Amino acid sequence: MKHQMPVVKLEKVWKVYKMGEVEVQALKNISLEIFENEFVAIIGTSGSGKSTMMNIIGCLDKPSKGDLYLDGQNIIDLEESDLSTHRGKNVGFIFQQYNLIGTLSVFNNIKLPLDFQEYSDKEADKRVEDMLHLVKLEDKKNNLPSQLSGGQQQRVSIARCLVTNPKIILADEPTGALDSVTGKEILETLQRLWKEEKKTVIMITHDLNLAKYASRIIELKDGEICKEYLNENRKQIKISEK
Amino acid sequence: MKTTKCFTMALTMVLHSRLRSWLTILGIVIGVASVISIVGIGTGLSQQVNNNLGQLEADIITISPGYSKAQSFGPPGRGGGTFGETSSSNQDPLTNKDIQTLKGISNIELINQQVSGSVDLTYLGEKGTVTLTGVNQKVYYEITNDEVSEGRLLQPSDSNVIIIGGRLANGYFEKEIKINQLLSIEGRSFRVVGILDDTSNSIIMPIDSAYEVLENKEKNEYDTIELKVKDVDKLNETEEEIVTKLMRSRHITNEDDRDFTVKTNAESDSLRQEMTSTLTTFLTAIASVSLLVGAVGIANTMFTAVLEKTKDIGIMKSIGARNEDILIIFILNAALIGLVGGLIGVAFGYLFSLVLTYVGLTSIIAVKTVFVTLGVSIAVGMISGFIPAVNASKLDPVIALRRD
Repeated sequence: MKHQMPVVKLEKVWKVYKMGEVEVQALKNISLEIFENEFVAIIGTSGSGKSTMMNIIGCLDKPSKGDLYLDGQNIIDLEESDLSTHRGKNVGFIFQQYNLIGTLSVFNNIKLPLDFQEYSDKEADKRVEDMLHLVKLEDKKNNLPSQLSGGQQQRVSIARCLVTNPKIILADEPTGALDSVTGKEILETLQRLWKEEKKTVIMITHDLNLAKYASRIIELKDGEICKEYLNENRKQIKISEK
Repeated sequence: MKTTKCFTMALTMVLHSRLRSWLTILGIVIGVASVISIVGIGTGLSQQVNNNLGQLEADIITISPGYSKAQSFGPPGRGGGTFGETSSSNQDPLTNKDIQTLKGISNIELINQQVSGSVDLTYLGEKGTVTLTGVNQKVYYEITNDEVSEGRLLQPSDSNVIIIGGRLANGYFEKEIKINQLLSIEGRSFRVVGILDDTSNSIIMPIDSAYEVLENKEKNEYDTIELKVKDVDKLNETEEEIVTKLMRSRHITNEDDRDFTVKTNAESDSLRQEMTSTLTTFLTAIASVSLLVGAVGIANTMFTAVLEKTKDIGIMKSIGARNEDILIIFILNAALIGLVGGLIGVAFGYLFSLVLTYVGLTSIIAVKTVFVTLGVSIAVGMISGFIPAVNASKLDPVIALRRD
């Protein structure tokens, strides 16, 4: 694994927010490598910096200091438009609250990322149909998100995430708004994407039980990586501790 | 993102917009309907004025006593009057001597001397006061652009006959005046031989008869002299020649002492067009205020829409929307509000115009007016929506995604 080029590489990353006169250090000198076809869970309590890390890995936010490499390319100096294009092609988001557009049908929600890229309607429609088949929502394609259950909405969100065939899937508390049965289904879907589709999955969660689905667990505390485990045969092997 | 996709997104936003957006559209509807109606009324008014004053022939020059730097409005003698400052206090009438001088100018083909004034008339016991014009009937039928709806124009051999305006014939008195009926003017009877195809109350008769019924008019003194030129291309030279020769024959050496005015119909026509155009511009400016209020409404709605759609903007950015995509979507959204408001406004303006026509006002809606107003309406939408759209495009996706 160490000889591979990392898909995500954070090098001495700092993120500092100003709240009035006070400076808040959300991430402190983080260095991290995530490789292709890894399922990484980033865990930590509220305020530990895990959401900030997800925003930076997902190119939604830029570090205050340090470098971020995605697929070998340092994206720190990219213009806003290039960053958006990069995000659209390489990163797929799955949010806790699904974040679907309420006025668009299931079909159009899944198609939306393709609309922002140069896909022909014919190709885009075919991809959307494939995704609907994958998440088993073919019969709901004309429904509005408000007409679906929470689990169905999260499946739409997964379909929207996968439609652009991204290298990295970023899931932010993907089961946070779901009951335990539906939550388990979603986690199994993420595992299937990792194991069968060979995707790189990065999941943010505060729940250690959910993190057990991942191949590696990174624990954050006060903006720093405090522990790192490998998850092998349901046993967690500590590989570092600060 | 392709513009067509942005347009579809913008259309979806308008179609799913709340009551507030439709109220904003209503604001634009009122503005556009006002502009369409008022411009329609202005155009109708202009056309009515033109119809009433008649089409002015380009080859006609008119001479009148007194000198005014400002120009006369409309054809003299029958409803036309002067406005502006008259710089000459000396208003010696035009006489036969002037006619003789004019006959010496080679480019003049016809000369029609006229007198005019108010007269009392009686018809079947009803009385009224109208404007009468005495014309040189030997040339009148050749020089005039008057047209009759019934009967005929004055002929060289006519005496004691008149032609009358369309409204005087039908509408002025309780009973309609028909061809060959007699009218009593200042106690003398005249037979109607023609009815003009216009909406005036005027009377036209041979100049010799006019001297007999008009008070304070001396024979061989004229209120206006109308000239028809042979070669219209030499109109300006002829006008200058007339001024020079008349000044000489009237023993005027200084321009400031000039006591007569020479003008061409082209000058009067351009002045008339300028006046009606000023009127229409003034009315349109008033109507545009309501469109401006509509624009403020669009800006307000778009600012609110950006607040409402903040989360959606964050979602779109997280899945690959660029700042330019968001900017175009919101500008197109505002433009669509302008377009929808404009289209409904044009329809209402047209309906209002039909109602005005039904109650007797003239309102004309030109195709050009419709397209210009629609264009302005869309532009107003885009301009009003620009700053909110820029704000939307610059939203930080992390902050936008946190919004509920």
